[in-house]
Amino acid sequence: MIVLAIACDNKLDLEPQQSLSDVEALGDFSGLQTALIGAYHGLQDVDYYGRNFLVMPEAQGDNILIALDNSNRFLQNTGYTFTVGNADVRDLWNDVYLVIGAANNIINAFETVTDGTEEERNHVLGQALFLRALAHFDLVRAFGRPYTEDNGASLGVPVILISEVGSPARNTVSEVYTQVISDLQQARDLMNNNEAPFFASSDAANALLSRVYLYMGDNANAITSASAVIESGNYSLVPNEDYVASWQVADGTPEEIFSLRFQADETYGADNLGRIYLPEGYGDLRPTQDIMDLLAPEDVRGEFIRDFNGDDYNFKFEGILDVPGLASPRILRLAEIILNRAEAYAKSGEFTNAKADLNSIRTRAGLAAIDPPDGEVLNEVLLERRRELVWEGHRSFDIFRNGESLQRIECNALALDACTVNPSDTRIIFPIPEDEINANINMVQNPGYRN
Amino acid sequence: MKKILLICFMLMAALIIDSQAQERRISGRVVDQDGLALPGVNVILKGSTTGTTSDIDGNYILTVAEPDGVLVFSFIGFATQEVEIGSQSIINVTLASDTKQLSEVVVTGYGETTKSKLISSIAVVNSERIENVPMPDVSQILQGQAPGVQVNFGSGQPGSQGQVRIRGTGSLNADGRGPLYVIDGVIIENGNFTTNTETNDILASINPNDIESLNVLKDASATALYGARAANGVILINTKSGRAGKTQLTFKASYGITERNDGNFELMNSAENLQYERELLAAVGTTQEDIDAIRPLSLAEVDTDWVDEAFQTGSTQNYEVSASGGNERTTFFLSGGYFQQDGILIESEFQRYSARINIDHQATDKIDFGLRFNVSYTQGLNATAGNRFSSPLLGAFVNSPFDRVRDPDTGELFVGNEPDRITFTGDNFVRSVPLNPVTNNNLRTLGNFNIGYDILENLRISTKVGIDFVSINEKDYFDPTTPDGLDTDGSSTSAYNENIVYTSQTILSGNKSVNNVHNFDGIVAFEFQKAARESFEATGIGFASGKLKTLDSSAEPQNVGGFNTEYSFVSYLGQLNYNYKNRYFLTTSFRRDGSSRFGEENKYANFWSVGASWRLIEESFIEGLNLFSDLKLRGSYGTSGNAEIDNFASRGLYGYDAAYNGIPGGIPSQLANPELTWETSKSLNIGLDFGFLNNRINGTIEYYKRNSTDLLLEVPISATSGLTEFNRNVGEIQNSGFEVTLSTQNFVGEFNWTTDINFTMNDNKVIELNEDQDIPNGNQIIREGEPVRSWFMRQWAGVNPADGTPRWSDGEGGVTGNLNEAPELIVGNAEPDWISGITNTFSYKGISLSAFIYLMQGHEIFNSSRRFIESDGQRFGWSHLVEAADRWRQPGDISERPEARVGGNNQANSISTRFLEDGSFIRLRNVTLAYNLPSNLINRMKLGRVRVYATGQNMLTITDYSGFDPELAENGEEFFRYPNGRTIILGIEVGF
Repeated sequence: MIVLAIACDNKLDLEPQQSLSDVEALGDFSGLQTALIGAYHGLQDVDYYGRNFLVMPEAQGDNILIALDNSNRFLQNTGYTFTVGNADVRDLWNDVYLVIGAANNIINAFETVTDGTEEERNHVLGQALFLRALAHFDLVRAFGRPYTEDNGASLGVPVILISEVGSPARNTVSEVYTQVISDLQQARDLMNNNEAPFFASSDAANALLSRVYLYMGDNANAITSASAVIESGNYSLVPNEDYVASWQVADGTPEEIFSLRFQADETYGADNLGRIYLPEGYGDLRPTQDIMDLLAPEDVRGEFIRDFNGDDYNFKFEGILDVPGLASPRILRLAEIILNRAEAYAKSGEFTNAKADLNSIRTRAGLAAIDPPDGEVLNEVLLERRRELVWEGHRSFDIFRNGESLQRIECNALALDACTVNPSDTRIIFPIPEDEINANINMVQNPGYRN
Repeated sequence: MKKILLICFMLMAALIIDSQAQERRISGRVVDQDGLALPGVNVILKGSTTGTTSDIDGNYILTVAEPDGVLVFSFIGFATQEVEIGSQSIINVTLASDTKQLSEVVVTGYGETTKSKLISSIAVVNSERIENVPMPDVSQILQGQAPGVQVNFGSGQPGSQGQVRIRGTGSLNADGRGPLYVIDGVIIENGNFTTNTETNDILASINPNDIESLNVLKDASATALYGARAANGVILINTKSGRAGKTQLTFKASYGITERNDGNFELMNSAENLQYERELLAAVGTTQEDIDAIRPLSLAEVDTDWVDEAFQTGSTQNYEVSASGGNERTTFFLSGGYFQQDGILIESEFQRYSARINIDHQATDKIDFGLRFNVSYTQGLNATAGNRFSSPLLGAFVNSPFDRVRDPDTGELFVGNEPDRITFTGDNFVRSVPLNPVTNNNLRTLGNFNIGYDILENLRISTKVGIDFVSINEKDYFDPTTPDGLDTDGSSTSAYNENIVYTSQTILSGNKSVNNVHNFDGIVAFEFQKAARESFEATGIGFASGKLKTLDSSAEPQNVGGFNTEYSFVSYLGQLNYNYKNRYFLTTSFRRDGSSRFGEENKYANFWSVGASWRLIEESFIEGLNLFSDLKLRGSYGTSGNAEIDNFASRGLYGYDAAYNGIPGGIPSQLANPELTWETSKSLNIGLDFGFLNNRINGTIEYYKRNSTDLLLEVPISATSGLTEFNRNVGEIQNSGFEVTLSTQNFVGEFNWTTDINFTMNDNKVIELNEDQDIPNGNQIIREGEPVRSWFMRQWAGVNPADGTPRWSDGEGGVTGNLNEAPELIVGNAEPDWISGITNTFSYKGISLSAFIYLMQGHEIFNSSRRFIESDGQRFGWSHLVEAADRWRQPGDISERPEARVGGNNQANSISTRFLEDGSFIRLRNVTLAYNLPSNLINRMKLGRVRVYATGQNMLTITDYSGFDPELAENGEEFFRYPNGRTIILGIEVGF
């Protein structure tokens, strides 16, 4: 019996076979490359860029309404009735911090990992920094008050640079923006443009910087960053005749700066981005009369709206690779960067430059160039932005960061008392998820929501 | 062995006496109630050492000295009978079976003892209670049959997994709350090993009719021997052994039907639904023109009852042949069975083919062998989970009655995604479910081989080798023409799981008696167990036709996955028992376990127990009272552990199912906790066994207190860490309570009436948590000082009569209409205050009637399904409960339900006590009427025994609960669940 016992003792040392310990996983440069892929995978989650984060700002905007017959998705968004237990909000929070964790582990492992060429190392490190910045930026605009309201003095989200078990408190909005800019500047200098658009690039860092500065009201820097992308010559607007069809192109268009690629086998089925809009999906979210009235007959962007059995539906995300509703979300594309710059120009009083940028978007859409008086330029730019980026997840952010009110003209019962929402309303930002409040003693709830 | 020695001794003694006294020869035959020969019956002249045993045909010959005396006939499992010799020389005896006697021998796991010597708390459920229950799973049979055992079924799917909890919830970790299962002395795997099937229990591979007894080990004195895995109790399953004598052949057949139990549940019909939804539209100011467009009156022409479409009449059939027999050296038990059950939900089925062979052989005086071998194959067809749009469970609740099942013109089934359909799921389950089968086929081979050697008269060594092999083959198919298969042109997933456990066990056992005053016995044992699990899974998409379902016919491979995992245990154990004159008993046991699951620092752990008992009935001052026929006080204290965590739970891990752009990626999947250690439970047990009136009234009262410490749990953590859960030892829970069993023989004689009652009252409380921090647990919270299953939600404060809006408690004595200002509060718990099982059995001549009532009282259950069908208009276009129409309509109305309008009324249907209900129920679980055909008739038919019976299952339920069925999973939450039905079975048993 004793002999048997001794023979058995080493049989207690077993190793896992489909996971790697974190030490092993991040032990060498190829491990970091694999971990970086994992971080991109985190962006694909249905709660983040897989669908919800692109749909929620639309459900909270004036470009769609939810049909009375619906699958009960995004109702709290459209009615501005967020509860602290809202699962979409919670899952967004959780997934974005997972992306931050995936990025942090890579960034911090560079201290000990020594293999890989310098260029390779820089490009991987730069991408991890870019993803960390994108994630923090998305969190701060969803859970923190607009920067422009009080120059970032209110509470943002915890800035996490080392992901570990703990109870971190919230940083201010301004502190989060500072970290985002610092990460993006470093990322821009470290990355190359070799793998664009389905991986982050130096251009993508500049493009995102232009948006971040715009959200901060830092127009000069927004112009500089946007120009760096526009003038790089790496991107061009898809011509008018190809524009509508280009949304069914799966392998990249000249306009895309950073897109999150979805392959056919990555379909979420009914939860594919497009199927929340399409009649052969949930078909819950329908174009409003408001946006239809803004799209002139000659505007090709109106072709995204099509009749099906007497109702109008949004077909912008009709599908790619023969998979209905599948999309590779275009997180950063040239048209937005041009509009970022146009807006920054208009806000800085550089109206000629603003109009030039505005008209490049208008003419591509099939509209005539316009020459509005100076006082109208900003309005025209914002209106154009609404048309161009419609259903791409910008709308409610764009309204409130500019201190405007949401004014829904076609407004149904599901919008409840949110046909008009003022920028000072506490409901324009999400509650911190109840689960986070419960698990983190230092977490403070947003005003207007029970702690 | 001791018994054989004793018999030899008596025979020798008889021979000696024989030579001295006047000889008188008595002979006869011993048979059982059915007239079958009983071999091996002890026949002893009372007050002497003269005796013999009956031979294989039940015949005996005994020579006695005295002319007048009394013969005592005794045999295990039968009531002892005494016969005056008088002038008779031939004495034929019929022994009546006595199950009370049978329970005298109690299997304790690594050994056995007798009831009178028992110190620990072990509940025994005998074969008579197990046989012919029309359910596939052993754990279903335990429900209400043993005190301290609570069994919950979250699904009525045949073959689904039950949740067995012994003496309350002692662990927080889901997999670790259940008991350890031991079959014929070997620890086996239990639970759900599937990867795609919603619920499936590999225990359902065991034919319950093969089981002799189920012993539930509850206190530390019984469980400490199972050490690191026994903290939540142990269930010993002992299969039937053969009995020497003429081979007994038994044939069993039964057939039954099962109907849905509607309970208090009723949905609106089409006309009601239409009127309600038109009112919902009007409530938000929709114009009459729009109302007529959105909900035209013509919709009421269709009235589909989707509940009727989702459910069917289920059926159960069971056929079985068994044989038991052998001689003095070799006995065998063989059985083969087929069990089939169609569930009450469409396309749900379970089938089992099983075969068993149990053989015992005494090779020489010193060497014996034993074999226990079971092979079974089960096939399951599974209802899709209620969270899938194609599920009939969801569809029954939510599909709109305005939608048709079939096109009235063509008779074709609708696909369900036609744009003009109202139902949001976009699926017609009546069409999809038969086209999209979800199946699992399990093969289980479970066996052990035992060899024993008697080194000395009182010292024995035995070695057992066991193998438990389970393979599970699952298939999940989406037909290309169903909505779930449209995207992919059909998809087929095959998953294969293989699980194998090797066990080797060596036990040295001995006993020693000093002058029959000081009696010792004990064991020392070593056990090694290793389990390996391997799984792979592949999906293919693109099918030309729904008739093609295999991966080979798919156009392109879609997904390939697989994993291997393993664990091992090395254990040393020992037990020492001592008694003084069979009056004072002491026991102590010890086990040292090592496991691969824990880190280097915590690889081994020790568990122990001590116990004592005092047989008061042996004391003259009790005997002198002439009140008791049995009285014993016993107590024990000790520890056991729980190691049911993931095999690599303490490590920081990266998972690799995180591809992007076609490149494999890795992402954090688990945070490291090198301090993770075993969960330990410390339990105290005090029991009193009593009997009055020659044991016509007997029973047990027990008190227990079990503290489980270092609880293992994946606790929620701040998501800023990157993940939301983390394996931790989080605190301590206490379960304490009383258990009472009482058996009374109310009438004895030609008319017999017995009553068996068991009663359990458990008090569950969280004693301590890390940093006093609450642990959220769905709609429940784990908080110090409160029961584990405490409901934590907003307190509903009714409807504001002024405007019909909802109100909730603001936690400060007031009310608020703003959901976000209403705090979550502890508002009840899902742990029943008490559980009881009451069985009354009546018999008269060959007829017997037994009724088993099961009660669970004093707990709250959360009807989450009701939130969707009583949503005040938020779920426009769904189905609605009939009661939903009764609501606030105008200022001043006092109503339970707020004003209903499209989009809902201020989140009135969000999670709150509005949907929390009293879960108490009383259920007539089983009633059986049986008739044994009279022997003269049977003899004419040349049969041994014929029994016909009718059984009703869940015939009557008394409850206030609003759903189909108040028996929920242990978390007490209803969410589009497969309910239990009501079954009637007819059966026959024939012995040859």
